[in-house]
Amino acid sequence: MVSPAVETRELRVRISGRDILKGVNLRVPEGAITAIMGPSGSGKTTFLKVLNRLIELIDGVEVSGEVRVFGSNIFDMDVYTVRRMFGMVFQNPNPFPHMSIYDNVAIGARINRVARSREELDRIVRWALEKAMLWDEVKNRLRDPPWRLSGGQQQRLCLARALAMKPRILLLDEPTANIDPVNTAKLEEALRALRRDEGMTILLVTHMPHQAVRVSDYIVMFYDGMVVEEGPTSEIALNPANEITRRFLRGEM
Amino acid sequence: MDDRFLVDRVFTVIVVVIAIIAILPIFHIIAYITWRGLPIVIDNGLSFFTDVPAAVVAEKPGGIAPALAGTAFMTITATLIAVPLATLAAIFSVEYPNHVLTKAVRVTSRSLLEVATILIGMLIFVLLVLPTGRFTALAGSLALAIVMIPYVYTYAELALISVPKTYIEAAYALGMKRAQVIFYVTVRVARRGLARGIAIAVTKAMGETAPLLFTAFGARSVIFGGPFEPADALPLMVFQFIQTGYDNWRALAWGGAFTLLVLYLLLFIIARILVKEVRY
Ligand SMILES: Nc1ncnc2c1ncn2[C@@H]1O[C@H](COP(=O)(O)OP(=O)(O)OP(=O)(O)O)[C@@H](O)[C@H]1O
Ligand SMILES: [Mg+2]
Repeated sequence: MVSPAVETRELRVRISGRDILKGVNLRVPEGAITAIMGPSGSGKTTFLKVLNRLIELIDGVEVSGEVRVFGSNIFDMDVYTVRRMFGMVFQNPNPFPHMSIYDNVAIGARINRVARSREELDRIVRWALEKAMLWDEVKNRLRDPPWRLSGGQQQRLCLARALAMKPRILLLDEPTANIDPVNTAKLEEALRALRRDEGMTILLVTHMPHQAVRVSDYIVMFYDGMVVEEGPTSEIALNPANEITRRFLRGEM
Repeated sequence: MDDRFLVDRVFTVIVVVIAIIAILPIFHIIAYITWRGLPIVIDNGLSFFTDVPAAVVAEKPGGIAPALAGTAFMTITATLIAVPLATLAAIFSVEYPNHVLTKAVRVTSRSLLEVATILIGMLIFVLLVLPTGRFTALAGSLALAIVMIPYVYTYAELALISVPKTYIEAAYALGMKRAQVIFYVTVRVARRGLARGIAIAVTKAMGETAPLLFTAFGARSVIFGGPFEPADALPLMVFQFIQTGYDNWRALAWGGAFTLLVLYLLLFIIARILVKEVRY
């Protein structure tokens, strides 16, 4: 493996006294797409939310163990600095409903002071929308509210919003779970291009084995709060060593 | 199949009839006040809004300027006091739902909603009017502010809590600080609900008589004497004049009631136009 972008050691999460993650040891390589798979409730979303410390919004959460991002322990860092290193896309499209398409993308750059002038902000918004493969569809209606867009377009808008803050790592939590095949293909294409052209490190939670095979370099298999198998996509997809992975890939879970 | 269809029809008819019976009194009140009040406003023209009440034996009734000025002053100042306080309290409650202060604020707010507003007037009377030895417009403002606070708070809390959590998560994920999340996202997504609560509280304050009896007291010889003098208010004037036997004053009362009605409608229309619903 290349040098890790994210490294966790004995990562445990308890919510209201229940163990959700039970000692996750994982190295996420830089500049690659890592697919996280696993049955419902196995802790995939929880894992992503630990990385950008969004988990701390929930009451009664205890996190222990170590998480290093590019070598630094995220629990020693300022929480806002941690969050600004990650861009996150959620399972359901959630563009801010009171902001225009333009402002939805610009807000990330504004909050993180990525742009120093109006022109630079315009450039970043355009860059982010292009990278999200949405620019051509919205360039003539940047002032429209986001509900005028289809669900798939809204999800790519959310990707653009995350990109505009110039994150080093992208976290996507089943971004295509509620989206039609055409829009799914566009989002996957955007992710592949981001990895290829920007060297972006991407963590993609997905329910769909086909999606993992199509876009990812590595696969990590979660089961009951633990990693049961990990490795290059080509190896895992062709002959999984673990029985759980095998059943999952066959669509039996 | 036929039976069920029939039952369905009968049921619909019953519901519609009940609904009409329920709304009828409101239409009746609106129609009656308009029927009695509108001619008086038309007969007296602009002077109805700019004059002080005339003597009971005068040829014309004069106007309701003191009541309008007093209501404007007291409603605006009460709003300026109540809205920031109650909105901040609601934001605090939603951000820290388990804090002791939140529980205290909730209990206080519920009780204030239940308390007869005349008691709020008496509270200010004891705390402010007695010590200073005078009825003042400002005492009226304070009493109205206390009437408004639980309404603004209750509606604001509901509006803020209804903001879908997913937007708040997205905001924090962008690296926003708590204050930025509240200011850029929560409050703005909830803007329609916040405005609705403020509008309801303002109409409540505009229509209250009881809390003013012991605070602003009423003064009709000048249009407005200032914050530290007694002041009139529309509902106060209507309440006091309608009980007299004088035609002139009863005319002012009906015209005043009609004016209050129009102000209500204007307030809700303006609130609707100014504050657009956020669609998700
Ligand atoms: N806020 C919370 N409070 C209590 N328990 C929670 C909370 N969030 C998640 N959990 C629990 O943690 C476990 C893992 O949840 P998580 O959302 O991480 O699973 P997941 O792998 O993402 O599942 P899915 O595929 O359904 O999204 C579940 O059993 C869930 O009930
Ligand atoms: Mg999940």
